[in-house]
Amino acid sequence: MNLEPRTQSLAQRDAVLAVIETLSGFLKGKGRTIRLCVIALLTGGNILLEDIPGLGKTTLALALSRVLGLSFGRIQCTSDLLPSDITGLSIFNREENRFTFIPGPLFHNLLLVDEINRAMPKSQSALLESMEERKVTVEGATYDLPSPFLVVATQNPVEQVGTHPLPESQLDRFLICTGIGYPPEEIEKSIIRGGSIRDELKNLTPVISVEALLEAQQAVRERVFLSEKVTEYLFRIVGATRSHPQVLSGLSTRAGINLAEAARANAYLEGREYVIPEDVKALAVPVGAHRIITAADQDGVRKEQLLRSILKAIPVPLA
Amino acid sequence: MIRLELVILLMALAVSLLGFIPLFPWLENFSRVFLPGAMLVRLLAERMGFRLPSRLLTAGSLGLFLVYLLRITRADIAGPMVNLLVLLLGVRFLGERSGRNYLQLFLLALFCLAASSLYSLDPLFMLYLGLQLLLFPVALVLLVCYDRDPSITLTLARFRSLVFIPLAMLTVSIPLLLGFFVILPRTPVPLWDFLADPTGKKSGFSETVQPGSASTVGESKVVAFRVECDRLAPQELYWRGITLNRFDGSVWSRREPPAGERFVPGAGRPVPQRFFLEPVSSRYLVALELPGEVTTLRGVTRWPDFTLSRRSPSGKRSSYEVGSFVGGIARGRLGLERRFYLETPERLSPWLQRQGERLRLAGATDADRLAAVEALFRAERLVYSTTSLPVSGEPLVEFLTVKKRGNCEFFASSCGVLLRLAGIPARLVGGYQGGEYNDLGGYYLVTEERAHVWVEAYLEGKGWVRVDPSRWAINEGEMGRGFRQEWFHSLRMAGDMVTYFWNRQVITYDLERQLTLFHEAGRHLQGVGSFRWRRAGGVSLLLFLPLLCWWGGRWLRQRPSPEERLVAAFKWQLRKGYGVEASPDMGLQELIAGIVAPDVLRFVELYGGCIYRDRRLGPKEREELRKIIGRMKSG
Repeated sequence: MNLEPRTQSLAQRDAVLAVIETLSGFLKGKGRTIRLCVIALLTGGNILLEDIPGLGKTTLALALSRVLGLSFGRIQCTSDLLPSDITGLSIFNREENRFTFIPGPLFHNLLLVDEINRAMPKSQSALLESMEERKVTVEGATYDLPSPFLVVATQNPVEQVGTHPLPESQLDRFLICTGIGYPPEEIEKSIIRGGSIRDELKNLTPVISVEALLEAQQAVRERVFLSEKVTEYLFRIVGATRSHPQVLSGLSTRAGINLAEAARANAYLEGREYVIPEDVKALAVPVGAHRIITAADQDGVRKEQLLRSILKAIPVPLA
Repeated sequence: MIRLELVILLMALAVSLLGFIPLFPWLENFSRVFLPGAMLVRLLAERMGFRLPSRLLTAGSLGLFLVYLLRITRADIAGPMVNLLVLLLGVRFLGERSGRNYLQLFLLALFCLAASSLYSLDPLFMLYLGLQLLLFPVALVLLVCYDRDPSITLTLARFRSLVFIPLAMLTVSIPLLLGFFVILPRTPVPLWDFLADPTGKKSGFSETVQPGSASTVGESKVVAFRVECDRLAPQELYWRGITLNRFDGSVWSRREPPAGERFVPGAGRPVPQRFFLEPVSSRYLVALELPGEVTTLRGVTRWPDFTLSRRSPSGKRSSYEVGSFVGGIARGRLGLERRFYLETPERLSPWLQRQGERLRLAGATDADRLAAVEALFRAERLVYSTTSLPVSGEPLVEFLTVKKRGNCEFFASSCGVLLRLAGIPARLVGGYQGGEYNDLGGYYLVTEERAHVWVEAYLEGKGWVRVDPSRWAINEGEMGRGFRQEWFHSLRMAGDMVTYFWNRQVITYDLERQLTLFHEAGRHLQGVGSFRWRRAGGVSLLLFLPLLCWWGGRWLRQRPSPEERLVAAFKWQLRKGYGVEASPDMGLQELIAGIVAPDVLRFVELYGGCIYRDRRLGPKEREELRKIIGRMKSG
């Protein structure tokens, strides 16, 4: 049987794969993170990179914007960051004798929010709300955010002084939360030898158009089939987190929806028109782990480990 | 909380008793007392908390071992060994409290029970064995725990779960057990009895008749045989064994009948019988008068005097089928052989000779003279008895004239001699008379005490007529009937039936025969007299039908779907071909990670494409998947 007809219906898959390939060639040793970023992009979700500074979070975001041909905005969060610094504000135009709205960094396709936990809760919630709504209301006027829209937020888990850690309810708004991790030894050596590649970013050219990206998003939503068996499997994972003795609060329904979307995107990248349990398994940890609230006496438990142990206990539907 | 050691000790006591009780009748008195004593001491020690020095016990065991080793002779190997087993078991009870010691104890108890099968193959053995098998695995599991920590205590729930595993294992092994039952060889007689003389100690049926050799004849309840047949009238129950045709003055014995003799059973009611003969030292078979041909047993000769014999006695329980003509008289003509049956010893008491002379003249026909013999017996007012029998040099004369009491041997011997002297050809027939009918099993139970001797007289024009002179005794009605309580009787009958089926189905189990029976089941079902079995079969089928339905329904529901079977086969091939160990949390893609074989990839592609799109596999897809698995198998 020829497999081609099936993959053909997954529109723009080759272009999306080309994005991943280009980025992987450019940012060595970050394949997994790149892939997760693309999955977040395809489902219209946002991604939180949780790692120490200097591992290439910003470079990743910049490279992504270049390759995707998207506009790029950046917010460096500090404790005195105001909501208007994010959304933009109206300034009196003396020539026209009226207030004109100067859009903030939020009005870009790809927004890098650096060290999000340094911002005040007020600014954080302003950002996260607009992320969720895809709309910004400033001084009575409502402005739509551009599409596609992807927030890549970063936070430093080590430094705790003067930070405002994101509350769990805000964390739930991120589709994926992942670390980057140090690159493998050989790759890191070559990176050190080669020096910073920030300047070379200019050489990157877009490999996909905005239209194609929107088309791919639509294909993920509409062309990838999620069967009852896999839904059942997904639901059992969500259910298991809720009844686990070490968990105070398990995965929400939004988490379930997000996991299904991410699994669809994964299947799309794999060239499959249907989701298999492995798609769910592969994304359960990046999508789910950060949303779990462990019980008070279980502080030492790594949420990723916990979720993996839950996955291990749930049989995969095979027939 | 349950103290594990106490449980193990109680189980050890139970298992030991189960080994000890069946062995008890064959033990020496010392062993009979020693083991229960040792058990008591152990229980006391448990309560009062003292221990016996282990060195003393080791020395004692060695001593016992040596003593009994020296007592083993060629004639008695088993006796000392069995006693030693029991004594060592007792010593184990006194010994240290360790897992090892307990394990030895359990094993010795099992050996004791096994040793009892050297002497007897009672159906109770199965009961003891069943109980021991029930306790044994549980004890082993508990011992494992005990070995880790002897002071361990368990909650009831924990204990239950611990006991559940061995019991479940046991349940699972029962079908296996039945399988072994069919294929494993077995012994139809107790092994030790086989080595010794199986029937040397039995009284009852014998191949010669010698009245006057003992003053008392012991009555033995030992089972002689069981016969499956229809219920018959009491006066018809003459089980023919051997024909004795020679009298030497004191002993009736058997010689080969004269060559020219030709007799056929005349006008009788045919009664088929199926015999289950206990081990005997005689080579003669028993059958209802008058026996026809024996089937289902090879090497049986039917003599013209209706004696059935084998080439040699068989020490085994044997089974055979025979048809008899009940109420029939052996027809034929006695020609030259007439003299053979008239032969009397030259030295015979004058009194007998005088009586013979008188009887010969008593009538013109054989029947008249037979009537005269009966009249003589009746006139003497003889008493049937098995005690204070005549034992003089002329026992027959003493019986008829002085003591006037005797058992069937006296009646038959004297009657036979007198008939011959009176000119009527006569012979003695040894066998059994009567029997208890077991309604539950549909068979006659005949014990050795029912051994009987009667006379056959040849009446010209009629043939060989059965004459039972014991019936001429004045106490004829009491003969061979002891007082018995009805309820006890039925209980005994029920017990006997268990033994009977045990012997029939287990001890003399014959695979070939079972297969034959199975093969001819249809024919048997339509046969006469099988109504009872059909009804029993119907009832049991009715009882089992709901169970069968339930089980079948469960099986159907739980039966793996074609998809499940395919995946299972695929996983199996992956494991065989690529060493992939599947776990339930792994998907197909995960299983085949790193495998590049196109067939394997194709399977996952095709199968996943169906299953994860909520479709069932079509026939074509199923076929292709099967082919892939086939290729994986061969490649």
